[in-house]
Amino acid sequence: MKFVRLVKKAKKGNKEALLQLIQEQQDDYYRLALTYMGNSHDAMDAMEEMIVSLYQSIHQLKKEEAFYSWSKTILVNRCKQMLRKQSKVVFMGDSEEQIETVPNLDSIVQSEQRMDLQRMLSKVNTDQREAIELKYIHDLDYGTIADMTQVSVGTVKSRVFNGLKKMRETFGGDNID
Amino acid sequence: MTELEKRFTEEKERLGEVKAPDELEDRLRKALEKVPERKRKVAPKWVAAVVALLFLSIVGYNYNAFAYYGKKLLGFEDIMTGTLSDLNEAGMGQSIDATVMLHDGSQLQLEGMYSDKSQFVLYYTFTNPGGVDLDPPYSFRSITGVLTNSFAVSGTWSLNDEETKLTGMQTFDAVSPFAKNLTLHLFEEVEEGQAMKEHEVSFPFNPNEAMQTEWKQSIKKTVQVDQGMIRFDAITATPSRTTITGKLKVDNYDRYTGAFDGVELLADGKPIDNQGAGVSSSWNGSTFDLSFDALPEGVKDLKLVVSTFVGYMDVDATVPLVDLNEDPVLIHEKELFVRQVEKTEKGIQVTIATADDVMLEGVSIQAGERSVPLKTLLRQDHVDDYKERILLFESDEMPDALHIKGMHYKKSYGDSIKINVK
Repeated sequence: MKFVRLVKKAKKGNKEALLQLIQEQQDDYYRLALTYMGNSHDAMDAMEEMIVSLYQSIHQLKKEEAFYSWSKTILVNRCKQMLRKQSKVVFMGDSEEQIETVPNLDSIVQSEQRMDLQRMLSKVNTDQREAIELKYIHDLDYGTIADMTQVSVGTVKSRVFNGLKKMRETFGGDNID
Repeated sequence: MTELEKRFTEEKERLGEVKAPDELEDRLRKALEKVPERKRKVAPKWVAAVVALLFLSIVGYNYNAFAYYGKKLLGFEDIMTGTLSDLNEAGMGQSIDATVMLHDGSQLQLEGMYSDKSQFVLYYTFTNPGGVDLDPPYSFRSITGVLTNSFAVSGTWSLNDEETKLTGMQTFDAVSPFAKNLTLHLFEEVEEGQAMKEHEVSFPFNPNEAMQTEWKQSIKKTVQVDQGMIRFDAITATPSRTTITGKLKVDNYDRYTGAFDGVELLADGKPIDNQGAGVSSSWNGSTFDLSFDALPEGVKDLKLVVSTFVGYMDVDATVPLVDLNEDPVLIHEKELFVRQVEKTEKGIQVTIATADDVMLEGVSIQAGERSVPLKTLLRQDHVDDYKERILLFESDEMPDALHIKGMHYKKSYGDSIKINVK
């Protein structure tokens, strides 16, 4: 399998192989980073940090097949770290800078439904929202989400279940469910 | 489909239209270029020298050379590779009982070790009831003790289903059999970007339980290669690893990475797993050590084969730089593509591509009677299995041709050396 061969090469320190692996799914990585960071600039920063960490730790990756879920986990960790740092300094920056970083995601065609969904998601807690978005919007399986969010599969399932339940309750069962 | 599912599907489709920006690839490449290459850590040679000296000068220090009173370590089956797992089955490990508490409440438990003259292997578990971070907060530095300062070499681990316990192994350079107590040094990253906290944990070591078996045989054979020679001095086999040492006097042996990948060790005709090579340079040439997996028991025929190594050829070739097309020029059967020739502020830039193993020597461009030597290599990328690079020449005149004096490449030698196993 070509992919496993590339991972093996990358494990030996081949930068080009690592880059190729990321490129194969670069849109997926980018979308994931964008969901967390909210704007293209920070999403790309997070991906830069991710590729550096991948290079430094890929020799520890035991199962080559797990490369994508492993690397996406690292990406999500980087995003969360960056967000934590940003939240510390956000009030110190001047307001004009913040206007510049209006989420790019919003430049995608807006629609009523999208606003609705965002409003509904804003009613559940952050962990639940994260699990729901990863599951239903990024199409990731429970195992991968568990890896990424560093909790057990059971916890992910319960977050998704409880989050959806809350959304249904808040917005009236009949028309949504 | 429920209303909610429909909304999710719509959102998924919307996100699916988002594509990564074009500049992303370039940014990732640049970020990666800045990271220093990962290198195999090599222990300072003087440690080995001191140990060797002591071996020679102390007479009467007796080992139970063939007696192992070790233990079989349980719970590490997943991460043990062939040879180490066999040794463990045979009960040749030693257990350790020591714990390191980390800042975030997680716990690093040292469970066992395996030691012989070629390496020290540490088995450990890392637990955090709240879930184990896949990017663990600790990193192993070294093991110290009497006459011992062994650096961490490599490691691997696996995670349980609940993701609360990581089971791992880490190899170090060999420790001294004179040590009765060993101390593990590890760093903990307390907070991202903060200073690392160092932890030390000591545990008793019984060198009599460690395996001292070792088989050594001198080789003293030389293989001539294009730009010098490789001399194989000795082979040392321990239960966990086989090491071949020697001297290297080859110009530009490092012109392509993995020069030693083409050196094979055959036991009864079967290749032994290559586990890496290290070269250290000194004033009168370089010494190297090649690591292979352990030898199978009762091996009758042992052979070292230099199937490929760096080769060099005078080519004295002239490649036209006008009327470029997509076809390669053949230089002694090696393809050379000229992708682009352009005049920039810095000078003339020529983009060429060759196979991975090809490295050109004495490159210049010619414009009429004038010849300008290569100033520098601007960048190098891998494009579709070819090594593409941009050469910069200090000139403002568009050249007619590229002149190449010589070529380094991966050459097949096939020299074979028989090693006496008696």
